[in-house]
Amino acid sequence: MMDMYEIQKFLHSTKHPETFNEGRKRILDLLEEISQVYKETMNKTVEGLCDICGKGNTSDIFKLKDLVPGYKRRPNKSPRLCYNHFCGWNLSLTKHQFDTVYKKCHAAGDDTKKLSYFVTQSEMHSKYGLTDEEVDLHFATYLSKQLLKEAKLYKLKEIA
Amino acid sequence: MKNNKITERTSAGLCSALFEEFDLLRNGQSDPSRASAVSKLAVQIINTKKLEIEAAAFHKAGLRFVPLALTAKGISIGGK
Repeated sequence: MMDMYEIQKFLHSTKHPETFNEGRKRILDLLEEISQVYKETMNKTVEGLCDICGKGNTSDIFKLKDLVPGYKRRPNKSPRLCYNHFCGWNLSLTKHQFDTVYKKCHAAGDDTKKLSYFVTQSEMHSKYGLTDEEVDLHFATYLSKQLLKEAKLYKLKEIA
Repeated sequence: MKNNKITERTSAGLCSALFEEFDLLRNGQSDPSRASAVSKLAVQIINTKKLEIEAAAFHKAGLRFVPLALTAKGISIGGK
């Protein structure tokens, strides 16, 4: 496995620039290529409408996402969400995941105090994280709340 | 409105049923009262499913369940 720290150190070293000039140039070119691929992937626009509110891309920043948190293992089943619903779902899932991990840790008798440390938190997530079924169920909860909200909004519009 | 489509009885199926309701509401084929009823029904289904998952986890951990039943005389424990 490549050590990125070592590569960066090598790129910044000025000890033997004449010896490693060719190697450095090749690495820099590759980094540039990787950066280009990353930018293209991150800035790609998703066509279509949000599955919840039916809105499309509103601006370059508030874009539609076709891969939402919780569905990264099965991208084909991921819903398409607008920026606002994406943020709402992300927040809801993060909170639910933390609560679930905390509950599962407690039930298994693990030291839940360790959850305050980020590294241990990720370890706990891989051990007690949400299953696909649990993610689907939580998404259904989120959807039902949104539907109730939408229904109330429509009712208000009807009255007005 | 008659709908003969059968919903898949999974969490993903419930999600697609809710998405369908969103579409119907937006297209004007449904009304707010129906959407609100569907949403409340979905919440009940979700709560039942959550309880099932929790019960399964307890069962896996070795906990034994005693069935309870409401009878005319009161509550019967263990199905007696």
